[in-house]
Amino acid sequence: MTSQSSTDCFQDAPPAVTEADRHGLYPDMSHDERARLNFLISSYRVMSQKVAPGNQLTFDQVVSPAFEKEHQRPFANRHEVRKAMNKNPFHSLWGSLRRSLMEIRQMTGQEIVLRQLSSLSEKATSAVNENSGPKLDEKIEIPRYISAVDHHCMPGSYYRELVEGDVSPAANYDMGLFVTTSGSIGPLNDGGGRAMAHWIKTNYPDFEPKRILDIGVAVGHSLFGLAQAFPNTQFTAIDVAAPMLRYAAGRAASLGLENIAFIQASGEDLSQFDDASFDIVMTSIFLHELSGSALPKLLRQGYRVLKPAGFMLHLEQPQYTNDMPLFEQFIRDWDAYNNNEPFWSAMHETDLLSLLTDIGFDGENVFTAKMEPPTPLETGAQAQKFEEHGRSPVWHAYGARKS
Amino acid sequence: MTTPSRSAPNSFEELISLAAAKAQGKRPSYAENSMTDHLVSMIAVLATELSVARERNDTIERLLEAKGVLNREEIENFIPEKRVGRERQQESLAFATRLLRSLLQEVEGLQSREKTAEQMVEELKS
Repeated sequence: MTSQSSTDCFQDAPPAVTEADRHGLYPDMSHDERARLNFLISSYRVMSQKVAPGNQLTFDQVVSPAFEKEHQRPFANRHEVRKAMNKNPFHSLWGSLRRSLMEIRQMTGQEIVLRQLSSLSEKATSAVNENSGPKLDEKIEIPRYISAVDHHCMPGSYYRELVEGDVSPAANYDMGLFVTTSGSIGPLNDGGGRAMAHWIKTNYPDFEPKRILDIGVAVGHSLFGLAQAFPNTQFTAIDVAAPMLRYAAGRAASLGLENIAFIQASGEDLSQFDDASFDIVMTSIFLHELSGSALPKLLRQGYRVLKPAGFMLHLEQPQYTNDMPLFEQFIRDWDAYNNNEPFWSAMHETDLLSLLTDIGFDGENVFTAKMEPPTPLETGAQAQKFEEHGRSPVWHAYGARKS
Repeated sequence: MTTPSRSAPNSFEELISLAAAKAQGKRPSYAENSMTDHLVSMIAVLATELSVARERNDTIERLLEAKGVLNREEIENFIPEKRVGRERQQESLAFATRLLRSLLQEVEGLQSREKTAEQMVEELKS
């Protein structure tokens, strides 16, 4: 972490990868590996801030007028926009380059973690004791919505294990998150959790959660922001992928967080937890990696384990509603078709508030909220000035309070 | 296939191949000609490596400066002697020629009204 004075002429530059908080499990990197990631951080910044706006411009000036001339009507939905935009040379080149950058990011990360597979797993093992280590379930099955494609073009996805105790998918994910967001979610990638904690403390200052369940914890990036803000709360973090849980547990231990239990389990089956046993049930940028049938199942399970007066909170991108411009719907939908996020599109047209009502919450107790961290994130000074669709330091949340 | 049947790499070659492995899920196409997508990817890789080389050079300069071997301001203010300047320009000309080779050769081919390979094959049959 660096502190920046107002006279620092480099304060608008994107952070270097060395500004990511290097906890005990962070993979070692050579000079040139860091340089490669530094270039990717900068490229993502330029692509999102300077090049991506060209998509809207080319839509307004070229693609939309041409469609209206040909069809004598405006676009009817985001799918028509996508088909027309995919034929536009500017948008195609932007997409091709953005996809390539993601692939280069993945290959760079894979090279880094693959050459230290054993030492990474040893670090994860030695960071924890029998209490803080993850409780793994060898019988768990990776659900089809995770195994069907490798999300975000990560070869091996979240769950591949090449050596015993493998944590490499998680180490790659952790460093990759900082790179693809250009550091805009903080040195520990924990901006989402810090934002959620700030929202709870601001809006419900008397609410003291005793137990919080995080479904789909991944490397714990968001959860740790909450765990630091609520040191007296007991957290339970579940995920289907063993490498994620091993890494998250080791990462938590190395950061001195002792209030989280890591358990290998699916959000679709919370049978090991009692009814009304958690004050908050949450997910963080996770629901879009489920499926149409898994989503309501998970929400129902979450409702069951939630205490009366407890909160269900989901950080997710906003729903594509009728008042969202079609271009914005289309560009927010890009990841579904280009970044191996197949449920993204259907998830974001789902009326989640209605769904929350269907599974048992009272209509007047469901809400959406905008959550921001209390102070600008250390590595995201410049990033605070813009909101790129789908990747920004402002978090959208769907919430509900149980009666 | 749900779980990739891979094992830990046993050699550097295996490591690089595994690192370069394709993510599961069909890759979308962008340009009308798929070769253009490959070119975009190659350019992005080359740009990355150019940036890496520049950063490495910067590291060397800063380390040498810290050890008192050179002063980076001297690099900024370096004015080569005429002969050295020309020597360096010769290198940059060579680089520009290499970079623009395919375009230059296209012009050259137009100028000499070259026949196509198909035409030559036909012509030299007899």
